[in-house]
Amino acid sequence: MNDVHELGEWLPDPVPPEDDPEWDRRVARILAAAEPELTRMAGRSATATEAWLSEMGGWWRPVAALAAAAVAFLLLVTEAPRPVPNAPEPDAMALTILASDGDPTAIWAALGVPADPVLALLTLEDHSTFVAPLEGAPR
Amino acid sequence: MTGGDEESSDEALAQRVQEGDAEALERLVRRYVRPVSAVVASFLSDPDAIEDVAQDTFVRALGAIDRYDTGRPFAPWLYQIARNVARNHRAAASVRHSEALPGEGPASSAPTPDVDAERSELRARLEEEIRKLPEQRRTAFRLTDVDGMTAEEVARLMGLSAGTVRSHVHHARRQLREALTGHAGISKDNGG
Repeated sequence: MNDVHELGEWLPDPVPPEDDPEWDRRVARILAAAEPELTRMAGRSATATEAWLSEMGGWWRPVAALAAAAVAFLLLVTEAPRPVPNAPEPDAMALTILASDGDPTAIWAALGVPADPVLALLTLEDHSTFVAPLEGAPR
Repeated sequence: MTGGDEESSDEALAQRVQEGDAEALERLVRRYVRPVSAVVASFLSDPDAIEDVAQDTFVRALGAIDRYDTGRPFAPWLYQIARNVARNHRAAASVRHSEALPGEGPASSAPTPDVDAERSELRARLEEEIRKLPEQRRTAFRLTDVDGMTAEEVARLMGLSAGTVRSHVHHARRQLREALTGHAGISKDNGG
């Protein structure tokens, strides 16, 4: 650093120190010179925002409809399989048949088949006429 | 000349300036008006020209702010603009000067008493030798030894490492010493 100290007396003038009020004046001058450009930029930014909002205004309805359709489709695809209505629990079926006390409609209902009382009776009787000969025992 | 926290970092402020934020611009100008003026002063010697060119640097930077990539450091970007504007100004002034006042140099000044004349001559000679330094060496020397910035501050501004800045300053001092050896008060055996 010796040579710098030696040269220091003849060095060019430095710019003012950081805390010099001169900088306030220069900053104000620069900002004044920059104002037209800054105003232009701010105006351009506002115009861009308005254009974006306007564009969105024209598109929001179809976009919303598309989104709703997508959500509905997803719900449809991912829904869990529904249980068969009125289907009895496997263990409960035997008890139901016993509790039906020979009523054909109740027996079919225990199997999950809604039946007409007369047809249900006929079906049970037909079943007996076919089963008896096969067993080889007259009744 | 610091980047500060994330919100007040140079890059965050520059991004706000891109959106037309006047307050962010003022903060950046306050932060960089002195370093930019010092950079410009490494190209020019007239104080009025230095002030004008520093102002022009900021106006041009504002005009080009849309092209600034906020993912990159702001200071070297601004520094490049400052040196380009200063170089252009110097080239234009050089043409005007050579057309208007052929042969007149910075050493020509009003007659002074002997001692003052000698000092004035040495100062003019030193300024001339500083102008002869390679650009980066000259700017690093000017910012550190004349304007008192630290090597780290200069490195950040110029986009160099602090070691490179110190190397530039070291070589600049040596070159100036060699050029001025024999002048009053500067001896050969005192060099660092």
